Amino acid sequence: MSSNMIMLKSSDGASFEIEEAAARKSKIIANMIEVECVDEDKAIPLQNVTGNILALVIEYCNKHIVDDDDDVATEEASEEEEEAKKKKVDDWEAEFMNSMSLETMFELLLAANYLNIKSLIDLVCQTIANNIKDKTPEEVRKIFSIENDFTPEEEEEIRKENAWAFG
Amino acid sequence: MACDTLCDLSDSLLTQILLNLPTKDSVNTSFLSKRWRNLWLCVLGLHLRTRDFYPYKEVFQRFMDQFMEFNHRSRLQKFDIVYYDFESYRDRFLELISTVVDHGIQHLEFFMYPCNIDDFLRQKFYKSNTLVSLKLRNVELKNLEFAVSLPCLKILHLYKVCYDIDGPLVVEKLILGCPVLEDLELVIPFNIGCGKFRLLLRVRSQTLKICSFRFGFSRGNTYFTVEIDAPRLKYMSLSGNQSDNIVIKNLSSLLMINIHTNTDLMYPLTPEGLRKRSIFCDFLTGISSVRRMIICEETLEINIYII
Repeated sequence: MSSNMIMLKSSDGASFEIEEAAARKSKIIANMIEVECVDEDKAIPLQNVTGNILALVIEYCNKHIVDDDDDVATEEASEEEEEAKKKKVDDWEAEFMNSMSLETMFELLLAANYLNIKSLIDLVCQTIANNIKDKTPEEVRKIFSIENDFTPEEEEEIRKENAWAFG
Repeated sequence: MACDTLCDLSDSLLTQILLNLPTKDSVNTSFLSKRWRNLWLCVLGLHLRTRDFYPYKEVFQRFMDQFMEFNHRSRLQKFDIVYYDFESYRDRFLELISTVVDHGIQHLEFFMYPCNIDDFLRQKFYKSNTLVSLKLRNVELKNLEFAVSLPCLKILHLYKVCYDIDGPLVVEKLILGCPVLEDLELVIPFNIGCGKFRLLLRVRSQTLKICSFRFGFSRGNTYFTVEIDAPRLKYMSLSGNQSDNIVIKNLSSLLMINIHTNTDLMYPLTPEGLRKRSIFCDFLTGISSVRRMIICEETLEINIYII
């Protein structure tokens, strides 16, 4: 249908070409397109996203380009393919998240939040949560490089307060 | 290393991360640092088993009060609770559920142990404009003096929710009140004692895509019929001791069916056996457009008998 290409420009000056349909996964960009403040020859500047993160966002959007109209494509022949495709996307998402460091995940989350891509926010939050699950506070602090700024007394107090969760 | 970026994450993003964890793990993050001290309280949902608080009812009570007080203006998203009864806290707890439904919760999953029969419908969830998924187990749904309107509900899972012979009507009414329902799971929904009953459940939905039934009727003289009219149904799964009669009305979209049931057809020469065989044949005819079928071994033996 629409194979319009638009240009995005990262904060560090890298330009990316992306199909409009994929770019519309971002509510912010979709809005810009709606109100026609997108000049065809000009790239949309994204001040809060660096090139390496934007590349990941675009990779994600391209992979999910069909999501929104999967109900339309219910011709018989494509039914099983659709199911296989769904599994493929799930596998792809797992692989995609697996391939990046936690630091990259945080940056990706910030970018997804800034660009307002709900499904990507959910995916990254879920993956980060899986990294915290079943870990002791000490382990989580280490993973996230959080400095413990409690005094031993304060810590003891919290321990008492939340004894049920700590067990 | 990761610290700079982590510090950039707003509290609302951090609480979104925590929303994906069991509440117990999310409370545990209060040990991390001062910033995280009360972050768990801002998480827009609970995911817990009250057994984690055993035997301290007061601790649970205090925990719930703290959470609800903190969030009395928030629009909570998820409540996923396995409730093992604390003496004399049940009523208060059911009230809390009502409150979160009133506050526009989207996902409510509620398992109750033991199964004291409470009329859960007084919780008013049946006219929620926000519920997207509702999973109930061991509560009682009864009383037809109400109109069901769940305009956003897509997922409905019911496990042991009716204890009276009007159960099928209650479930039918619920389904009819969900104009965008996509996923229906009924597991022993009608837990009715012995007796001679004729039960008919009509599942009619224009939007249903997935359904899974496990009925488990094996007692007495109960004749049970399920009538399925769901033109957009794609995946269907039948298991357990199946109902006497499944009438397929309109399943042209069916893609896959998974049958794992021990339909009692092993005595083909009795009139009852013949009757059931013919029912099963009709059933197979009704689903003849299916593209993939998985049948367990016991059912298959019966199947070969028929053919």
